[in-house]
Amino acid sequence: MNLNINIFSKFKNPTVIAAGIAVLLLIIGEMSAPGFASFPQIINMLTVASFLGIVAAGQNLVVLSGQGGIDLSVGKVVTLGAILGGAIANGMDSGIIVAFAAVIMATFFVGILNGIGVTLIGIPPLIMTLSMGIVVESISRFITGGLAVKGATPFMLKVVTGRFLGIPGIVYIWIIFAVIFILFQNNSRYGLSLYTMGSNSEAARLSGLNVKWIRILSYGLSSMLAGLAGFLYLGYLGSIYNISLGNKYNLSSVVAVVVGGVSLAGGKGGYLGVAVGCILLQFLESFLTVQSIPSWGREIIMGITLLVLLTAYARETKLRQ
Amino acid sequence: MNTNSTKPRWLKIDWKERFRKTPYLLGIVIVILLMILLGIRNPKYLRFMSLSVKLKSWMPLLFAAFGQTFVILTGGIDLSQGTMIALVNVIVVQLVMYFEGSVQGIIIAVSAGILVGTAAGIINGLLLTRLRLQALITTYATGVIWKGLALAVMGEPGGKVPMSFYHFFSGKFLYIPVAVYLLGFSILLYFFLLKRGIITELKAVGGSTMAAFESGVNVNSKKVMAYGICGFFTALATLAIIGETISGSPLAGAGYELEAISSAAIGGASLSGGFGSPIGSLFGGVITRLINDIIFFYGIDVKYQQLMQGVIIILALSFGSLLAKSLSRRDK
Repeated sequence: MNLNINIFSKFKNPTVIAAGIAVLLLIIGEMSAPGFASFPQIINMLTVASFLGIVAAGQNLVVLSGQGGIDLSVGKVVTLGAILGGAIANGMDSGIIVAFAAVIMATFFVGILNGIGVTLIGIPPLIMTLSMGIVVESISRFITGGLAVKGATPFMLKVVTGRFLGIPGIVYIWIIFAVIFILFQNNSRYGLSLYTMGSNSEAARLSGLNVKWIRILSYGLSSMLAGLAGFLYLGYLGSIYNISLGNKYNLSSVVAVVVGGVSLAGGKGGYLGVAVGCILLQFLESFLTVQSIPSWGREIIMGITLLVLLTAYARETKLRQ
Repeated sequence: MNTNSTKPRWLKIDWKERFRKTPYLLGIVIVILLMILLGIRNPKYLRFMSLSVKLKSWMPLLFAAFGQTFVILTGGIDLSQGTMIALVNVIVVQLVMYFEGSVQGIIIAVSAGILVGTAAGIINGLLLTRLRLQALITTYATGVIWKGLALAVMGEPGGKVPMSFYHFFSGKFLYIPVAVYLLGFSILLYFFLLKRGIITELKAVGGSTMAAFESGVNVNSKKVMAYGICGFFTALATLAIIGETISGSPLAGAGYELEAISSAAIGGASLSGGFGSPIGSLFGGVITRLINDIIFFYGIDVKYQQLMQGVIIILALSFGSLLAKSLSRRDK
């Protein structure tokens, strides 16, 4: 009896559900379009998912911090990271360290501003980060001056797209990142404080945590990780022609976080689920692309799938209990 | 008492109290300030004619922000508003073309548009309440569905609506622009709901869902109603867009949801629900648009326009939030 309950609760685990659906998609995809679940194809999908994975890690921190925490500036920050990195490195390996440091510092600064706006001034996170997005985009536009940025250095290209055992570097980077990030979330003082204050901010404050500073730091880290993803994305693309390049990460990072079982109310859900959520989203997108469904049909199926996933486990408690 | 009676009347007003009771008072003050700034630079701007043309072009945002506020009052958010505009837009334009621009056809198309908008809003509300989902992510998902449906109805921008549609929207009735009547109708509807106590119930749901539930408010039906009202005004926003562009586009309305939400926030609505006013959001929408005009008329380089816009919005929000903080501090 006891065993049964344990198995059942495993199935209710969002990470397990998301992983199960991802595998199911692979199987159905392989049946309808042979080659969908082949090794190179899966690696391709993971390669694309890894950028979202890094962005979603930051989003995970901000959502965990609670009180409606959300970072909708990440999309524009990804673009800024790519463009700033490209403009500074300018295609030469000698400039790569300066470019990397500049991207990390600039995007961290953007996030700290978000955090200050949210915590010290009291602007709602949704609006604060969206408005910051407008500012960040205009800064990106300044840097490019309307021209394409061709700044990926040979080293960056090699690290991101170079293959080892048939797998591109970015996938290894993501795996190493994920391991470090999960350890960081579950063991560091900051990570543990984040869970505490996410579930009850007032209690955390009264027990001596510097709630405001932790929240500001979360926004800073979120933005920084988006900048890092953008920098790596530059290495993937080689050059940047499009100022709206990162926009898709804004909401897809939130969706990945929710699909991965993180509560938007804060305090619940870790990075393992989020990473699986990112993979699932990418599988779903590729799956719908492979099926020869017109674009409008893909949109509708994508929307309905999201609703089904949400209904499966992101439900709130009943008012009448 | 003695000192009070010697003070001029305006000093006797408790401004803090006033601001707290009328969340949009600050909005009015900012609108007047911005108008003065614009008037100094370009006196023609403040003429009745030019203002009524301006008002007409602001209508889509004003309607969107007005509708969005009902949802925000309940503590929700409707991210599907932008693509809902696209859906209503293509349906109305396709129907008008199907009936070859006849008057009856236009009436049918407009009613269908309003019905579709309201229905889409109610679907949002039902999904949220029946399935107990989170508003932010659910309306994002339904937004994706509306976009797909809009693309199914009309694959690419096109179609043509008769000029009579345009003339109606930019026309006048008894010397007053039609746009003013539409706004007036919306405000009347708001006061009707206020008198019936519905606005208070919406705010109660947003302020504390549990308390509202326990004091006998039908929380779910109030939420569905708020999303339905939002859909209704989103449809009106779409009609105003068609009145400007007189053509259809499955991409119409992109980004409107965010502008509407930030207008509501600038207009004094609390995004966590329970506080604010749709009227304030109208002022918020006007402020958003006036900022664009100020940037234009003060000849700021196009390169800096977007930057200025973002910075000004953040500053306006900071000011509003700090003011709200200092007002609520007195309670404690």
